[in-house]
Amino acid sequence: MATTELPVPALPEAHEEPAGLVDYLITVDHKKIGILYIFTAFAVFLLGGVLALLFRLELAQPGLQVMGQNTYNQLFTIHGTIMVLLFAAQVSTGLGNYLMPLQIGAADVAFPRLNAMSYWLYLFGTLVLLSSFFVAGGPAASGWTAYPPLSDAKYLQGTGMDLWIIGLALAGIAGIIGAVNLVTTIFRMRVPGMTMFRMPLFTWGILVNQLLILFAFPAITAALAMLFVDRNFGAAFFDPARGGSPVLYQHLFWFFGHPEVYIVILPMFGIVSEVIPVFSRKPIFGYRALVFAFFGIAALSFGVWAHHMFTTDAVYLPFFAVLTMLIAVPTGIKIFNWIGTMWRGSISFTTPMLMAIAFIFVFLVGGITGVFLASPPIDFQTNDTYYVVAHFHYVMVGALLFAMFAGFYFWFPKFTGRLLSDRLGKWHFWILFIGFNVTFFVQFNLGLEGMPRRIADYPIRSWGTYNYISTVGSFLMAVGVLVFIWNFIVSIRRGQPAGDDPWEGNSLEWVTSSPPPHHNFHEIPEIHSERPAFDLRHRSPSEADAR
Amino acid sequence: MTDEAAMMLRVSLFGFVTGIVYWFVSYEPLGTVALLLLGAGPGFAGLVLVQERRKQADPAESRGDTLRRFAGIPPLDPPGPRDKRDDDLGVLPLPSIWPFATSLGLAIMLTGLIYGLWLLVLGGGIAAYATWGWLAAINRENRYGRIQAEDDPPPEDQVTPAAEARADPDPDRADG
Repeated sequence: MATTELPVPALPEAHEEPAGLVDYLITVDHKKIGILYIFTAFAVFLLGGVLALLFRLELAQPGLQVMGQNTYNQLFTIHGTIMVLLFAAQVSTGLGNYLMPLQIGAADVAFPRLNAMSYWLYLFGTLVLLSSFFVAGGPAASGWTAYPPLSDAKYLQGTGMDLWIIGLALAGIAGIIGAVNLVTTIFRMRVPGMTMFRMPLFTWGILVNQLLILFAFPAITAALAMLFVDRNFGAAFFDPARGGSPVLYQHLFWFFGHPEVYIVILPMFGIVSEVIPVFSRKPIFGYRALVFAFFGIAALSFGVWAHHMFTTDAVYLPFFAVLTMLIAVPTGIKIFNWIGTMWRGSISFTTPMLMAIAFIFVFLVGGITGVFLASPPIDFQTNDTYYVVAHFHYVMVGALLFAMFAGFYFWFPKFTGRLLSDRLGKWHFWILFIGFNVTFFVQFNLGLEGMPRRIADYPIRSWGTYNYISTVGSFLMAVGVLVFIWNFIVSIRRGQPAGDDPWEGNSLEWVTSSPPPHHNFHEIPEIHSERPAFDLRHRSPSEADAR
Repeated sequence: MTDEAAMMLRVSLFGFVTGIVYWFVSYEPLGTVALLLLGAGPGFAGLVLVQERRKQADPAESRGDTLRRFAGIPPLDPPGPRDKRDDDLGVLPLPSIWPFATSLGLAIMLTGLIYGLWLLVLGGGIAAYATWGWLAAINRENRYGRIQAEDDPPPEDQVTPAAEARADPDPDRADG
């Protein structure tokens, strides 16, 4: 067998890491840290989901039934904040932490201790932010964008907003440290033979995702610091009465905020680009085009921030409209490539594949409605309506969830050595897919009829029907997620043993055991293409003998 | 030029070009500065990577290949396996409480900005102590080898294989 033998350090038994919670407290192993990220992010997702169910209950009928205006403001603020910044942006870091070193044939990340520190900063940031539920006045109520003056000390008193800022600052620092670590790992620790253009597409997704974090997070960290100083130390960065500018905050926020969308979604592109070829039994169609589409989207995402600010009348509209529409080109290339991969493939409709196909569908709906929003006249009509909410959730929730679950079903055997139940998985898929579309598709109509977002009550009774449907859909989604949790609990105990490579995968993680050993690999095959595991499986006997 | 450097320089080029175009269509300073910084950051990283490549012993890439790589076209002569020291792939650090403790200290310290100086000092103290512990642990590993680093320094006559390898690397070992 042609392999690269690795000098694995032989740890004496006495020095094996202890098992249990203490093990996780002191671990610097990228796999355990990845698991910690994934579990924490998923817990945040469940909490954010519960908050959403609460305010969907409030919105099911006109009038105030469940909560008051301020509580509603607080719930949607924390829902948005934790879902976007503490779940969506972090779950991919968790998957990347676990899988990327395996995919490039490394034993760990470049700076394992720093990796642990990133996770703990993220966890503490999350806890600091959530602790605001227990302070006088409750948590922040400014919306997840925290625009001044809604977030300044004059209009939002109490420490809830300050805890929000400090919590996000900690998570932001964690993100920047983590990005330095993962980018260095990809640049410097690939196994011999794995050139950049032989890396798996999920690793490419993580690379571009982390580069975006590296260049975008400093902007939000600066904005948060300025907001904190404004609130607590009497500065006036964003106070127009004293020479500041609230639009300055919006610039800084969205210079981070739009790339954040791609921080969330690019690793999901990577997951789908791994899943579709495996279950179509074909190589990915247009590998290089996909890589350049990743970079095209990432670069363009830095040039479109002010399309979130069209209605401020403080930005040059055509520049941002044109660049925003341009993003449709690399995005279209991706969708074309995924369909090209499936075309005439031998497709097996397993749960991860169904999730990946659903991802393409919902991302397409989200993407196309985004092109409309890029047009300033339409944006002026639909800004701050439920049309934007629907578009945003199709991209950030639908696409993210379906790709994330595709990844969970796909790599769960690698994490645990067992398969998630495909039968329960299909229940999970269909309930979630129907629930998601019932929840959010009607919100396009609500937006076009003029319903503004961020209101607890609405005066027009005809909106009640759509809102009722949307609330039913949201509970259906919750049932879907519960099915997944049940599937997880059952499968991790009694799931079918998976073996090392249950799907006949393409990338290096399928070459090692499930779960992988502490040092990841005992031996690594020679790398001749972007599909080393495939090459190893299908090498001709004569070729094997020759080596 | 490596693919890594080419990527960073492409992003840098995008930042500079859009920054300049943006300035002339909008005369808006903040966005212009942000875009130019987007050019400068990856540009710096790209130049560091180019410089690093030049220092390596590999034969220099032809100018044509460099241009082709920058344009995203595979070079005519695909690169072989990268040089990599064997021990880059196998050495793992020991578990450590210090990343947790440092993060805890930083979190308490920043929260002190809200609740008062005492919390800030407490958090700063924890963070400083944890950072010291972190650096001391690394120092122990470097001096006495990875396996014994958890314990006291080993006696002179019990040198670990890892420490021995560091002190006396095999001069005949091939680095590929």
